Amino acid sequence: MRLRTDAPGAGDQADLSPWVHAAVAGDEDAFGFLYSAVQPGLLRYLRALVGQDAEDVASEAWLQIARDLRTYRGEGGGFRAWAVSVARHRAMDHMRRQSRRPAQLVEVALLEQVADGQDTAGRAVEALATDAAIALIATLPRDQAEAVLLRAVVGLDAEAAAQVLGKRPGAVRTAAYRGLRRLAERLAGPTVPRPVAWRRATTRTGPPGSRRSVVPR
Amino acid sequence: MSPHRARRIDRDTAEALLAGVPEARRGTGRLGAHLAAATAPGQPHELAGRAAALAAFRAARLHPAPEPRRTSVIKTAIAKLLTVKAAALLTVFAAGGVALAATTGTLPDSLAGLPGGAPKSAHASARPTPSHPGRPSAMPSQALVGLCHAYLAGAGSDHGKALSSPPFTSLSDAAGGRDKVDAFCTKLVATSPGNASGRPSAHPSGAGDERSTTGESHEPTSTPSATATHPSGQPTRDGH
Repeated sequence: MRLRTDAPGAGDQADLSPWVHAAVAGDEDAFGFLYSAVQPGLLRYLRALVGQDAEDVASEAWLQIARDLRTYRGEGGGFRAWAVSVARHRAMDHMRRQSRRPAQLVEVALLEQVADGQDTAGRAVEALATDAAIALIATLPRDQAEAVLLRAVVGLDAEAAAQVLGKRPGAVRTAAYRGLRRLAERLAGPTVPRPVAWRRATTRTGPPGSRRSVVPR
Repeated sequence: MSPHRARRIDRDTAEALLAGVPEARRGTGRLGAHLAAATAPGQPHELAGRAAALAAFRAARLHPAPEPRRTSVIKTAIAKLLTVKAAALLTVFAAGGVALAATTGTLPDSLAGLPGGAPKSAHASARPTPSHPGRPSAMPSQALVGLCHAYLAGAGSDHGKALSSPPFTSLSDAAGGRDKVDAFCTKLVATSPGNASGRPSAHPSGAGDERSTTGESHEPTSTPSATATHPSGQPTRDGH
């Protein structure tokens, strides 16, 4: 399944330094390029952390990124790492404020669609597959989910991911490998296990059959 | 994939999967396909906030805030305004971006001659418009329009704290003082282009007013959607 096109995938690790330098100097087009390059992965990472509030948290993050770009000196694993670090702090604040909001379930049908391994065609179906894939990763224990997402989806290397998470690189590597193994196990079964351990939505209900994103504990 | 095969994911394979090596993903069946789906190229709905981010970039460029970072103040002010009013803020930034694109650089004299057109910080006024020589006077005013919308949307007890936060110091600078921001913004919003059907310039009991007696305590409802459509993928607070 060939999904990488000319547009960088969410996990692309291409060097953004030229655009970062231009944006710091005030080049608006360069900043727009950075946004397009970083936002999909960043948004998907946030989706796993804060569910449907991912867009809000992302917009807060970009406001801070835009404001603080002048003082960015290239530290900490590159622009991607810095941007996702800003987003992560916003997400933490958000989760503290929203700690009493119940989690929502992922429609099992979507998870089965991903587990099916069917080739997807068409943007709408691709979007569903991406969302479902992220949602499944979000069911992992938090440290494993973050490690997998930062590495694969945001596109950070092991050292940068460790810096974002404030952990040792070895610990992040281990968490990522465990996450992948657990993902493989979950995808291997004939049926995807129902996530019975999650708290069920009480206040945020949509129309029957509507897709809901998951907010892990 | 049987559980047997799951155990065969060794560290090297895992590292290759995380790094996005296509061969590794092709060779690991469902897991590889799963990761490929998770890392598919960005879709249009995931880039819906681009205009707002660019507007923020422009505003930050024109009015840099070199104050020392007092994290709690910033978080409080921005979090209050943005988290609760994120929809309104992004909408007005998006509207500002669209209006900017549509404007040919000609503004009513009332805007071009704004006292806030020359910010008090000297270096800002000496700096030429960044990288867009064709749009000299439209940008600063449009950024201020966006800030004004956000300020007016935050009607209520947030005003005092909001004005002390970095994004809004430029607003009080342009207005000539915090006590003048209200009048300044009301006038600016009423006369700005691209605001045809937008929010009313006076808002005694607007939808965004937290003290409104209608009971809509924390959610601007109909007014933002009258100004501009929500970018797709931007959920409102209380469900869809």
